[in-house]
Amino acid sequence: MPQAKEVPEKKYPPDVDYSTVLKGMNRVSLLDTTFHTMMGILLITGLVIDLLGPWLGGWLHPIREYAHGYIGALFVLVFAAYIGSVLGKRKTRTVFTVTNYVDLVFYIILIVTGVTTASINSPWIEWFPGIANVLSPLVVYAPAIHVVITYIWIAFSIIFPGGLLHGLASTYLIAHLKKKTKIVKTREE
Amino acid sequence: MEYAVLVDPAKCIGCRACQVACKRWNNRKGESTTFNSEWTNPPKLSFNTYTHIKFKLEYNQAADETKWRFFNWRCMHCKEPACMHACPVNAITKYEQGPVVVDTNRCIGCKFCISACPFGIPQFDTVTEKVDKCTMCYDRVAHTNEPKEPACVQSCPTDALLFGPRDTILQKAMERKEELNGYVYGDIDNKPLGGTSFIYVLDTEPSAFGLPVVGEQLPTSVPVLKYSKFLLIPAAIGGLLYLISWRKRRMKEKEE
Amino acid sequence: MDRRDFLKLAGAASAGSLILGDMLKLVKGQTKPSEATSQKWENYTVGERTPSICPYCAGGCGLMVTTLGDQLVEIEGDPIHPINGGALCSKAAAVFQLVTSDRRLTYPMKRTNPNKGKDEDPMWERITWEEAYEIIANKVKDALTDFPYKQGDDYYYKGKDNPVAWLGSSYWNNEECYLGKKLISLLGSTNVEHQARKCHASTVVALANTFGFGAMTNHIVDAKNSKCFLIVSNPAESHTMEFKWVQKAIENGAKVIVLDPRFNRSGSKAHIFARFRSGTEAALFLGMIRYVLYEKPERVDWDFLENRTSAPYRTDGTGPYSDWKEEASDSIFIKLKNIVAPYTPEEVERIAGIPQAKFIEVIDTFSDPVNNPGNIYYSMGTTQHTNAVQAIRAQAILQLILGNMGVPGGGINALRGISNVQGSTDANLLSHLIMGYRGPPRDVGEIRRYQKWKNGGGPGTSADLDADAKKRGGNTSVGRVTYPWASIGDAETAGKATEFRYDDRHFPTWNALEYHWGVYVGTWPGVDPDNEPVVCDLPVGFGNPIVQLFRAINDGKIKVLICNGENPAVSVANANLVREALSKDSLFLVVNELFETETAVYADILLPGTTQVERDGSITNTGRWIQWRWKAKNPPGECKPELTYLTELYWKIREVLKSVGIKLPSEKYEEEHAGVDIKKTIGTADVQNNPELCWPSRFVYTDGFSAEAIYKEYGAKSIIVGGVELPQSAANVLYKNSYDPTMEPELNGILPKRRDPTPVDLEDAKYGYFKNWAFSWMLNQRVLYNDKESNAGLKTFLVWFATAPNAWLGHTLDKAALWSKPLHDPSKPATNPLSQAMPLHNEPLESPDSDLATQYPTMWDNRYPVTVGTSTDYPYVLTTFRLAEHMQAGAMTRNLPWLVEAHPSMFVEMSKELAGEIGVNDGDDVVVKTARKPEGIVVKALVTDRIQPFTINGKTVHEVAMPWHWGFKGLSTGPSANEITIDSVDVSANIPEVKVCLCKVEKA
Repeated sequence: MPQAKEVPEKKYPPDVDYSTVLKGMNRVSLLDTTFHTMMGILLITGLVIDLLGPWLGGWLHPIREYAHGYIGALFVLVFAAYIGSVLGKRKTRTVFTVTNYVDLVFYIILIVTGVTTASINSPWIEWFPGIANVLSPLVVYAPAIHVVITYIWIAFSIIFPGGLLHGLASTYLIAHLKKKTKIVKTREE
Repeated sequence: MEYAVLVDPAKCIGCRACQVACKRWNNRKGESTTFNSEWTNPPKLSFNTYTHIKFKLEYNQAADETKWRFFNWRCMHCKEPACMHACPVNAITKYEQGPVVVDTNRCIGCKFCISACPFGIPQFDTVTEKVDKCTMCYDRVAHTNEPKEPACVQSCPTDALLFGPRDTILQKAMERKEELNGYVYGDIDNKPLGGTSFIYVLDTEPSAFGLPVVGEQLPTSVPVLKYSKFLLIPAAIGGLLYLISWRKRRMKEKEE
Repeated sequence: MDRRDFLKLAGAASAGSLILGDMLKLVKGQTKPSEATSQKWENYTVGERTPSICPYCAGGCGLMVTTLGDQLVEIEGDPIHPINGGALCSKAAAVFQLVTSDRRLTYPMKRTNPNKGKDEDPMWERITWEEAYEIIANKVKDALTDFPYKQGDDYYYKGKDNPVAWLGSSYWNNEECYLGKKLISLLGSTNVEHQARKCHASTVVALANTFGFGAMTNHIVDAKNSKCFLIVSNPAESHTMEFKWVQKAIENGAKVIVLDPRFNRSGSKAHIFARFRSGTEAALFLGMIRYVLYEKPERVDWDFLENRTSAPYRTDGTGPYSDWKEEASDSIFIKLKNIVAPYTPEEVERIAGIPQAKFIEVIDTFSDPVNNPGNIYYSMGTTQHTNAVQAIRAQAILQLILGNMGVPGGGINALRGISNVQGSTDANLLSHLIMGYRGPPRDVGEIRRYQKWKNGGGPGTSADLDADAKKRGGNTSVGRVTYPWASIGDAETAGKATEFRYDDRHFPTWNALEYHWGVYVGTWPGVDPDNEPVVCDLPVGFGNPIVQLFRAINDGKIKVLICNGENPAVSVANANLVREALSKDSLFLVVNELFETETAVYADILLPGTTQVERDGSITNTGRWIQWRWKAKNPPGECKPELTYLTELYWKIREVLKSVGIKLPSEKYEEEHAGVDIKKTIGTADVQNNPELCWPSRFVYTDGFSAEAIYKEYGAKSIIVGGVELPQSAANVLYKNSYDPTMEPELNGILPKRRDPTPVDLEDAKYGYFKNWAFSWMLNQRVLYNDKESNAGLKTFLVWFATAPNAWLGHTLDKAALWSKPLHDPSKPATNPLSQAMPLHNEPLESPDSDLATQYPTMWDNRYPVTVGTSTDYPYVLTTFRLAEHMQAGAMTRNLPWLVEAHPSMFVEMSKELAGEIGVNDGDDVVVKTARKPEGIVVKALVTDRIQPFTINGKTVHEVAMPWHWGFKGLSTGPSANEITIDSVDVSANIPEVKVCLCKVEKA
């Protein structure tokens, strides 16, 4: 029986960089990677649109349409799957903090307002003609809420470690937990 | 010089010349509509319909009196356009002559203007994924020498739409207000978003025409939208502080 | 995260703060440039401008067309045009789309599917124009092969029996209408009709018999001079620019009264609006006359009645009587007073359903001297009834009584429907007229008399007679029989005043046509007109008016129908019958159109027409202004300008006909009589009976092939042939002097081309006649019968229709006729206006009330069978109306997305009460049934307060109304209202009663 890798239990945080985290995360859960990558893209494109708009202008149209819009649409599906898988497992539920639950609320608001804003776009309006009617009372407020909530969320997640830092941290933790489990398993063997 | 258009529904005969002339000058497509018993058709403004005539029928059974109001509806071209302030890409321009214009080349279809406009004017097009609205024919109006009246005004047979320097139009509005014993909407009696370039003179309350109550200031959502990005500053400071404290803690841990 | 990462993050944060700093720039708002442009504006500013006239309604609004080469940039209102001043209605604003539409026909096509019908695909096959002409010419040849050119010893074609028929078009320019009439007349046919029959045929009869001309008396721009409007029309929708001027009058304090069965867009601007049941206009106006005469005699303009009307005369022609206002005088005035007596407000309410108080308010306002001059506007609502002539006469008499005639701001104003319907009517594309409201020869007797007239007439030396005969192209040999009466006095002595009047009116026109068309009318050799054979190249006798024309097709009598810019499959009453006729195997149908219309679906040959901005020509608007259109661009594809089409078509037909020996009667005479060479000698010139020399116009040889060349012969002031001036130089007497080479040489003497909006004098400036703008018939008179107009043209009343008993006219024509040419039928009971020459109310053929139907029996042309329903089976009154956004039968609007979106579908308007009774909700599909189509048509229900039930003769009567623009072709399709309307026609004008019938409405 080969000697198990030394578990750097004392060393916290461990010596990892982003690539290690991503590799680890990817190995552990593809869904997780997708979720976080998409979230990153959406956040960055959103910020680019809102912050660099005056300079980039019409160049942002495909970014808004594809990178933010279509990926946003896919993200809604991934989010549903991801949140289901996360909340469905006791193990992951245990690492959820209040911040995570507040985050969840932010996500839901962003998704609803995002979907509302996009509801009058094609092809959604052709595919789901009813959706615009259902969401129409929201249409007037949706884009403003979407943007404002994003910034609040950014501020919130930095001040109360959620969001960005949370993302990095939890990614690390999850990867770490997994490793730990593996090691535990190995020991048991 | 600043120009304005006086909209005088009491003179409007609902012929929809403005609606068609607008489509002609601005090269807008005809829409596929369905039977509308009210006759307002297209029933709503759209990317291809910058302006339309709204029909409102009132009947007083007891006196056997019918009132049929027609009025031209399109962008009001506010002095402080909420849409312009909401636009993240500066695609909306307010010309000093009055027009508020969406540059569709710059537009990214984010719909912030749609949510900002208290009159519900900017319209999203699902084909081009962009927003557009009445331009007040800025290409005819925004010239330092001899502006040409907007296409809708030019076509109006009964002068229910009247174009001129803003001062003259305001004076005319006052005169008509007295004649009709009515109400001026857009300036004088109220100044939605600082006053509008299309000014209605009405023979009765604006609500009878379905005109919204709009304050002189931008709707709260617009500054909120606009200034929300400054939340990044406390966020950055907070983040920085957090990182500093975290680093300190780590250094301490290391020392230990 | 290590230190490196941390620094990265810190760097990002500082970059972020830089961005935030920049963001402050945004807070200030966008820059505000002052100059703007667009591609359209750039093209617009450099493009070439060409003035044109709107092709839709008869308002005559100016268009300014901007083009870059052949690319159309913009079509806007002509900013200097006195009628519209740059404004347009929705239809006119869409002319751009009409011209650029990709739905237009662009090449000739022939049908390959032998079956014809609404649902049959014609299976078009593209052909060339030459092939099309060849096919048409051969079909015309086949149809005419056995058509007799000789009746007994006389050589002429019977116009009505001719198997070739022609329709259209009011959308054409005057030159094209004229050439169309020339073409079909040269084929010997009087089976020629067009839109005018269906819209204002009754106006022409009624007004011409009252005043002299069957036209709008004042122009629409003259509305600004009015103090009160009595509108029995819907100008806000049908003639939108009219309302520009009504609005100006309102701003000057004028009152607007709108009478209509349904509340409409004009009603929305009215000070007084009142509803009445469709078909009761005559009762309304007779009631108004009664009210003024009996209740407010101080408001009658007694001087006007005495000096300018027939009121002080008796019906036997004696007078004027000084006691004409007294019962004992038995004057025409007293007759009028007695005839209108029964139409009390109570009776008017019983018939028309208008509340008495409202009715009194209407007439009290209109007749009030503070509201003078008052102005009556009417159109289809009044004209499309079997008693329309009576109703219009009643309106005219009301205006005479109030002295509102012949003054700026007054008049009785028939709003014509289509852009050039006045011009096409003047060109007489009608079965009972030949040109300028002059009839064709009705029988050989008239032709014999005409020969005598040509031979010279009246007292004088032989040299005078010869000079006369030389002018007229008659016979100058010694011993010839000449015209027997030199003056109306002579004729009266001989008891032949009627003939004299008729001849005086018609013969100069025939004479002009002989010269301009290269034909011969008379006897040969012309020395003894009573006994020589008649040789007449003009068709003889009246043809079939529109409804009868389609019956003749159904009977197989018409074999070729050339239909241009007209859509009878939608526009003619009881369109089922029309569609059945068009489907007949025995009929060869040629259609020239912009779009594939409902009629085109039945065509054997379909030819692409051009839009009005693609050709030159003149056009006459509803107020009689003749204006010029300039060609702005070339037509697309193989579309041919109508003048080219007409010219080439005639050349081909003539060539094919000649090849088989089908020729003019005079040519046949020459052929059968060796050595005879029929020609007229005018002055020193020999004028041949040879259309080749005159086709399309004699001026072509000096002016080249152009609209101008044709206009010159149409409106010439003076044409000198062989050293003498023709007695009538203009082919159309109404247009004479509109081509005057001594004036405006830079316009080639064509006065309709004038575009000078400045007034000619102070009076012009005061009333805004615009006498320097274009030209107006007659002789540039802007307000007809205005004897005070400066620079006047023809300013007197001119009642020609002085058939027996006509003596009351004395020797002057200048009296408006309260008692008109009797539409006289002694066999009818005295209550029937056919026995009177004064209007009475008559119920429509389908009346909702049997008591009224008995009391006021219908007067209609009962020679033709019509399917009539009873009020038990069909309890509701149905009327039709028009929308601002659609034009007539719809081809020119239902193909344009900009207009279709505004009114995308056919509907029927009904009151909430009726909807409640039959359980229909707004927007439901309903079936509207009439006796013509018991299975009905399915349309949308528009339940509205605009329509209210009437109380007629004590009973509730519901009326429903539907627009009639729809058909089964185009972008927006729907059932045609005319599938269910009634095709009963008026006895004197042959106008179908499309504005009222009975129907039943059920939930679909």
